[in-house]
Amino acid sequence: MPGGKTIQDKVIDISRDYLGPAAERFVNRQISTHLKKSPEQLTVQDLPKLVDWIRLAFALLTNDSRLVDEYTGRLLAVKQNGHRTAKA
Amino acid sequence: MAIELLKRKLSQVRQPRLPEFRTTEGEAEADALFLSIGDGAVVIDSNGRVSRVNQKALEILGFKRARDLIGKWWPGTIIAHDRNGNILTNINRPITQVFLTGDNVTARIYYKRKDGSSVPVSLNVAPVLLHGKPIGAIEVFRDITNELAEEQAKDDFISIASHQLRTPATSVKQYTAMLLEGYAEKLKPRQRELLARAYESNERQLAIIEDLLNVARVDAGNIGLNVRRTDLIKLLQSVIEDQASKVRRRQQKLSFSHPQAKLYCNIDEARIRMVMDNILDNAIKYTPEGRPISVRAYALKDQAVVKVRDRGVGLAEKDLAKLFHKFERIPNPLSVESGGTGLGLYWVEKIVKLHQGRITVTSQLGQGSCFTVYLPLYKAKKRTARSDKLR
Repeated sequence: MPGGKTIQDKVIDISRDYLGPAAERFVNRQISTHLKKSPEQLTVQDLPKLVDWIRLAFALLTNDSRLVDEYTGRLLAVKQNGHRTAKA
Repeated sequence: MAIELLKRKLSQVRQPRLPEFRTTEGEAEADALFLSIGDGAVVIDSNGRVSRVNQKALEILGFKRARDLIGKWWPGTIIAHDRNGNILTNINRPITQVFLTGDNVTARIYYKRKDGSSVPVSLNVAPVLLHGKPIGAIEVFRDITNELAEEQAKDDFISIASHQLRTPATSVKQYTAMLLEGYAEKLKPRQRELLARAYESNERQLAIIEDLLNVARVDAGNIGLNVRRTDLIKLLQSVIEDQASKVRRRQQKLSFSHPQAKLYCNIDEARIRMVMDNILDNAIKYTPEGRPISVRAYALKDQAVVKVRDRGVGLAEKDLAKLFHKFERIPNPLSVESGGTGLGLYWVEKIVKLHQGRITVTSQLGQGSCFTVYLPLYKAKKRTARSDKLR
């Protein structure tokens, strides 16, 4: 995707708001572990499955269910709204 | 496995519910199965909150009623720590690791009970999947207070007994050596022969005591590593030279290959020498006379790899997992003849792990075994911009 952001980039960008500098490692690890593919190959079709796993891991890192919903909602919006990934 | 059956049953339940809200036969069966587990069991939902807990879990954690835990955020309600009392961060808790690695996790940790006391538990956590979608996790755990006390008592006994045995056994060695060297008077051939046998038996006895002491030290965490930059190739050459007479006696062919002339690692030379010595000694002992043994050492990314391959008696797959267990000896045609305590490989694995390395084994019964040791390569410290300027 020359010039534009990949799905992986978008997911990591959103994740940074919640996980800080650990976001890239966290997301890439979730992709390779649960989707069995390299992070660069992430597609919008993979997002629902990826978000399921991210939700469970993130829900064990924070007690704030609203934040978990917000984070996973924004990730799913990457699929639903194309490029509209701005924080609600 | 109970946990597998339970996971299947739980995955049939769309929303985790309390027993009074069960609506289907599948849910009732899952509840019955869950409540009948002899170990503590907790189900965590997709928000990290407790959705089910059985009576045994309540007992272990010091709670009276399920409602004291249901709906509570698990990591915040039950604090986990290691044996030194260090609190496990949420990311390091076994349940979080399940969702990071995708695998079941088995661990021994401590949980803080409701009254603030700690209880050691052995646990297994697994994700619960519904049509492939993760919907939570199930954690099954048991109180291992008594097991730990027994292990501690056993370790203390081994430590004390072996210390007490070593001193007199060492004296026997010194005096028999003096007699053999003619310090008392010149020995007749028959006297020399019998004394030489006593000396050899005493050496075996001391080796066993040394094994016991090594294990006692490593179990007690009393091993301090003297780590420094060491050429692994040179170390292996020296280990092979030390074993050469045994190899010749058994008419085996021992080869050593290493693509790199030197392989620098950050290791405790004496301990890793014992590790390599142990692995090679096993290969020699469990390889019939005349068969080949090969040692290969090379660098792979940031690791040094040492492979010791033999064409010996080999191991059945069912025995491989037991190989690194304490006091485990795998019966085979050469093991009776070879003797041993079943402690060597247990100790070897511990030492390799202390070096942030790992050891693996592949084997086929009757075909031979291959032990592979991975150790971190030496990394020169990067010079910082500041230190460059100062030069």
